[in-house]
Amino acid sequence: MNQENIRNFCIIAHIDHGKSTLADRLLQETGTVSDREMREQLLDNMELEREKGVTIKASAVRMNYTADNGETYEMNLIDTPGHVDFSYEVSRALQSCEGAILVVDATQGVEAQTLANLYLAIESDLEIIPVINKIDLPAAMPDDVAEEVESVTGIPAEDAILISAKTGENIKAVLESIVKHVPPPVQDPNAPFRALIFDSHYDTYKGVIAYVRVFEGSMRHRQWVRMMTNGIEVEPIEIGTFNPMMQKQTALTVGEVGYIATGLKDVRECRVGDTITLKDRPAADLLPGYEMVKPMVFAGFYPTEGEDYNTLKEALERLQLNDAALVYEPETSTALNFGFRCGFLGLFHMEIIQERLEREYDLDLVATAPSVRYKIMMAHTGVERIIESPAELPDPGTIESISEPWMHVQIFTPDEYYGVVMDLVIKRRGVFTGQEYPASGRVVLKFDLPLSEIIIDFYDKLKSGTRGYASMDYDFEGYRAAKLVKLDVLVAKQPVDALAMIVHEDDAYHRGQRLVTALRKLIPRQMFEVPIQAAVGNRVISRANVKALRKDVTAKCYGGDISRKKKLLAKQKKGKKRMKMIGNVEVPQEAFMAVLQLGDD
Amino acid sequence: MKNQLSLYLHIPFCRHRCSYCDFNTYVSLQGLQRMYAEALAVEIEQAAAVDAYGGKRPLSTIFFGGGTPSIMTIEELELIFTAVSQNFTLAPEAEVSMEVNPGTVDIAYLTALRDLGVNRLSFGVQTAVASELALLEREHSFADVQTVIAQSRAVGFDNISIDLIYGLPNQTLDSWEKSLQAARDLELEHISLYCLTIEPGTPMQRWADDGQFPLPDPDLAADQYLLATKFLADAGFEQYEISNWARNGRVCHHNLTYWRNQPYVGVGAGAHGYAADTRYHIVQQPRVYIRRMKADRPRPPFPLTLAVAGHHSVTRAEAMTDTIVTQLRLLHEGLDLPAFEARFGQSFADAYPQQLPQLLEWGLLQMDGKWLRLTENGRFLSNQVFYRLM
Ligand SMILES: Nc1nc2c(ncn2[C@@H]2O[C@H](COP(=O)(O)OP(=O)(O)O)[C@@H](O)[C@H]2O)c(=O)[nH]1
Ligand code: SF4
Repeated sequence: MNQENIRNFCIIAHIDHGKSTLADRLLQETGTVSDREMREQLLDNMELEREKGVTIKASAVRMNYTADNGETYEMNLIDTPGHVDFSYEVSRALQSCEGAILVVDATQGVEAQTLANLYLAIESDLEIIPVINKIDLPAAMPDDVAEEVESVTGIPAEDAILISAKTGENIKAVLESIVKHVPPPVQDPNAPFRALIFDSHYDTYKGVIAYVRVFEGSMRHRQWVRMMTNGIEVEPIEIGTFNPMMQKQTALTVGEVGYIATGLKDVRECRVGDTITLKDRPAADLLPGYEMVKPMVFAGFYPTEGEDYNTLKEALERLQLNDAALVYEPETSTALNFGFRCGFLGLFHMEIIQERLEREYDLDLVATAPSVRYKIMMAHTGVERIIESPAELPDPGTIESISEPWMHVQIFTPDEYYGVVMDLVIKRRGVFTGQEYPASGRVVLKFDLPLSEIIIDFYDKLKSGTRGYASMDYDFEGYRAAKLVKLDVLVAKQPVDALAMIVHEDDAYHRGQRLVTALRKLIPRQMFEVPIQAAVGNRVISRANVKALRKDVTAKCYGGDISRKKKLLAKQKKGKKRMKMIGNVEVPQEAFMAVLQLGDD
Repeated sequence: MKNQLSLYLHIPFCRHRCSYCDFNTYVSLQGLQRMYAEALAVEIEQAAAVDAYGGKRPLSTIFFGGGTPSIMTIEELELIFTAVSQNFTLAPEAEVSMEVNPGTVDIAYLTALRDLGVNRLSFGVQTAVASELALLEREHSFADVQTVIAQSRAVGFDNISIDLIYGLPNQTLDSWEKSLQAARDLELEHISLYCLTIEPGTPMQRWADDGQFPLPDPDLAADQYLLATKFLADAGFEQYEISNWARNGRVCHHNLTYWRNQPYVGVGAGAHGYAADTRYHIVQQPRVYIRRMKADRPRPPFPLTLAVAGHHSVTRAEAMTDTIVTQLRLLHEGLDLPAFEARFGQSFADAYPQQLPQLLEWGLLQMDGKWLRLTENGRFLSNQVFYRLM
């Protein structure tokens, strides 16, 4: 294909604003997929994504479109993940495009998530095409929304394309606008081959399949390629494009989007963000923006049944094949025995992994409360240590200082919730940094906030406090030192490593109290009294007792019917099996997540 | 005692459903009573199947439970009793119990019961406190109880029991003691005390969900149980089972069959049975039950009948559990350790190497020669013992 006739674009949208529906319509309109073949939400091909309503993994599809001017264009739609945890992947996807369709729901307006991705797109110099969707709905306010879009993008409101992805109204106008406004890729077709990996997936037969955008040069199949960061060289098993299913091709040329099936068995050898070049004529430099994926949130995953340890290990290995952002290493806890400390891009990423482990691998897991990565400056040696679990915190006497990750946070909300949001953030040690009014009645509040405060229950609180209207986005700001202490929890006088937290000194007392209260409710009464204590160092700051159980009988076995009684006992026994033993105390799994339900008051 | 066999008959009708009740009983099917009695007669014949030597099986106890057995007319009961005596042999000293709801019977009815051979009455009294009776939606007053017991004595019943319930919403230690005093003053042979369980689907549960009353405090229930234990001991009752007290050795032999894990035949809608190493249960719906009994099909082997909805042979593991959850309920006998070992080819200590020492250490179980028993403390925590031994 003539480079002049290639268009690479992506769609930016808030969850549920209609990205998938629009993508489907584009595929139909261009005849890429016949109506009969049209599976709903073709691009979201993971079951979980559909249920969660988000795209987790970016992917790509090629369409051929004959425009009103009579010319045929190769249109590559690159899908972008819609959640804040994946903004790293979003930026990879954006770098592979020259244009972005901004889809905004005509009944909802712009959301924080959209805004964050939109700014990423603008920073990457993409041409933005605003599209207002769902104009078929009676509640649609396309003009107001178009104005809002103008105020955030500077694109005149009258340029926004008003469509209904559902009815198909005005879809052709979107394609025409892409042809007209999105520039063709302008890279050098004769330079050494350079392709950016913007996504990958693992295939049992073809190994790691890298999804690439070719920035310079071209390659033919059978040519050996090299991963530029690690120097690994392979002869690809296959190369091709997405139409929308993978289709073998003999060459990939500049500006195109396609895939290279590397045959590699480990995704870590073929990382998203890396640059692929040719072994025989290697490029000198990486494409810009290569960054290691950095997990930000850590939690222990433990199998409920000890014998599931190996299944869990294998499951994590398999998941990691498709998800280079997931890291894990073995961890041992006195309360939970053998498990893994896992690192995630964010809480949402963690939730998805947990769900996949439970659903696809049928595992029963205990997850400990999430934590962040702390930097510890050791007193005498001046050595810096990094810990990912509160249990690893060294003796306070040996510590010079502790610092924790802070985030830039943007919260987008109707302005009536201004006070609610402010309160919440200030309670979480947030620092207000600015505000903007992109549209009347809407405000963007900007804060700096420790990540540790965001991952515990922040999002739910934000949502419930604003009746679901606020949305939020964050990115990493830097490490800041703080007076942090380890809050230990003792059950029946034994410290429980899996319940320890690192908290700000000023919050220790309150957190300790609330945690103890929550645990007292969660831990069932035992055959003996169980004291629960929260302590900082040797100082107990809160204490409560779970009273000894006194009554556990069933009423009569009617007419000799002991089967019913046995059923109840069997249930009780099963419940007990799911408990974790701390010494002699049976602790239910929910207790290890108790910290997530503490609330703020 | 080797040939001991008991018979349970279920009468699934009531005039009104009590607010806590989830038994297999129906309040709008009284029109079926006559047909039900006939069906029961057929089932008794099927269940009786002669033994290997061609003889009728001897019954040592019979128990009419419900529902409300006393809702049946004397003619209907005659039908049933005739079927029993035609198909089983009944020892002269056999215990024949019937549950009776106060306020449903008169002297003539009681006399007729006596003449049919009923020799033990069990009254559903539940509480002597009017507000508690109202909460339970019982259809009688405590005065009705006093009347019916006096009448029963007058016609010659010398073995009378009542049920009481504690752990009720808003019941206090004081109000519970009032019920106990009232019960003592009735000068009974036997008393059963049950702790209320709020069962799913009952009005009681809906009220609790709606917050109409605070959920009963389990610690208060424990105190009420302790109070009752002491009170009844002072009144000359001996506690022989977790929930049962008897004076002068007038224990309920029928229930002992269950707790000794001995065989019993169950007939009637929703009844359970255990005999010939088989546990089974009968269809619950009276209409279905009647239809099944009209079917003209060959009868299955003893102890099954055409009304059986499900049955299974008792496995070794199940038999162990059954032995434990039944025999440990008996506070004086308890679990017979040598018999356990003889039956299962493994000593109790070997079968429960971790659990037994733990339960002994916690003071829930005690060993006394060949017997393993619940301790005083273990009685009210018996489920903690049972599920650990399953
Ligand atoms: N009425 C109406 N509904 C739409 C339109 N576009 C999408 N939807 C609906 O909005 C919901 C979310 O759309 P989807 O494409 O899954 O959103 P995504 O999360 O951005 O991919 C679905 O129920 C769609 O059927 C539209 O133009 N009009
Ligand atoms: S009398 Fe007994 S069986 Fe009948 S409804 Fe009341 S509690 Fe239930």
